[in-house]
Amino acid sequence: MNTKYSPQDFATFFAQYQGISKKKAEAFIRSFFDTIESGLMDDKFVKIKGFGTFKIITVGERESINVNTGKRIQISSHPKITFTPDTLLKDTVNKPFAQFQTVTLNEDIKDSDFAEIDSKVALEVKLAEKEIVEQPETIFQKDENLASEETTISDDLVPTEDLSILEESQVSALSEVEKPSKAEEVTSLDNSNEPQEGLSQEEIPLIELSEGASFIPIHGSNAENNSNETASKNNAEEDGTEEQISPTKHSIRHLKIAGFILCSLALLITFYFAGYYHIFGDHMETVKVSTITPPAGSTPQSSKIATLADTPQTKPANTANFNKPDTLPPAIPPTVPSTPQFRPEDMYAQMEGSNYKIIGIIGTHSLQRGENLYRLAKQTYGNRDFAKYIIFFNKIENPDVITIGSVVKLPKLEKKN
Amino acid sequence: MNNKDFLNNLAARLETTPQDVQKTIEAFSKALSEKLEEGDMLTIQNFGSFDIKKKKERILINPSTKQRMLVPPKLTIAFKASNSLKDKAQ
Repeated sequence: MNTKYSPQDFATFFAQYQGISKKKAEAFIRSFFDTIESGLMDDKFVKIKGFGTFKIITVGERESINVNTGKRIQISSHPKITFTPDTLLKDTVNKPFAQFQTVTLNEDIKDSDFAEIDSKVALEVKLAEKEIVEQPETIFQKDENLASEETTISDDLVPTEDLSILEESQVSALSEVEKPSKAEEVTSLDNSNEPQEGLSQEEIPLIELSEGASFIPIHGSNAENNSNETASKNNAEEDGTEEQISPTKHSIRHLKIAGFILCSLALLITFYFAGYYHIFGDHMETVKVSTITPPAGSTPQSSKIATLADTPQTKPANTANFNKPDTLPPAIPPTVPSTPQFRPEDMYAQMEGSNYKIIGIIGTHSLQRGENLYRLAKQTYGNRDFAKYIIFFNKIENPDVITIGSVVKLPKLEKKN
Repeated sequence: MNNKDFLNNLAARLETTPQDVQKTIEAFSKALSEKLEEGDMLTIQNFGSFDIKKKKERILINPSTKQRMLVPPKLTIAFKASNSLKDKAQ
């Protein structure tokens, strides 16, 4: 924000620009604004093609608070002159930012990111006062230009109305402060974007960043990530901008990798539990034929198919049928029993790797509401650990899921030598 | 006052043709925007001032599609009427 141009100064410039005499330029500017003025007074609006539209709007009454005293005051209805620039003028003014376009956001950009960015920007850019700060608005946007036009008007309405409370001096002071820093930004924008101008006109990349303009990349970098990820057309060069973008890109990649690892871990755990609870079925089929002696080499035994309903008093010939998970070869025909010595534990399948052998049945128990096997084991054997025998003996698949009223047999246990 | 009337009016004042006026207006726009880009503010006595303001980028939500869009930052022209003009409009 360098200088205030008066009509005379501008006329000089304009004369040079247009190649017409200074007098003519001055006359033009003078009559230009005079005509606008008279038009406004008469019709309340003046539309100028290639420039813009001036309108007189009546602002309604409203209550407000005096900034200094804190007292409520009434702002009466009064006219307000607005100007909306023409498309041509808008585009010319927006040239430094021309390569940006509205972009659809993906889900990875959160509002929290913007808060972070905004604070960074606020630090870097010194001006904050009169900036038109936009809140995320719900605007139906069919035509982007249209929407931005509307918001421009509403923005103009809001800040200037607030400023009407402020004293004139404050206002001008603010504008003075604002101008120099703005000029810096705008010029730096200009300079840095120059080399890329040629590009932008040809390719029209979605978002393009420049190193010089420090405040843009921070905002735009997220947008650029989005543009890269959305089904977008041409992508901008990323050479000068790697440092700015890479942190966010890397973090996204890290997230993906972490998610991947978590998923595979979850899968592994699921499979482990599936195996533990025999969800997929034992890898050994329940052999309906005889069981085989354990590797320790006790006498071969015969067995017939029996159900769990068998009483413990059955003869050796009728034995319940259990699995020996470990060293069981597939179906072996029953052999003639030739047990020289009857051992009670042979009647029952034993739990592998256990310190106690099952030699009989103490009794049965019908499960009530609120009971669990561990408590039962404690009651029966004096130790919760013995629940595993109950589970094994009754072939309970899931010890945590036992139906009320189901009957479990309590094995008689004897310590092995 | 629409464009046509404005042109005619201005042409009458300047004693040129409306077409000429139109061309000059466009050139004037361009010159103005150039000046504004450099950061200068144009003030017309008893009329008002033209200024450049920067708008931050913001998130927009299309209410029907619920899509979130990112509107990039942009520069806009702001006009402030002078007090005399405001009084005249009253």
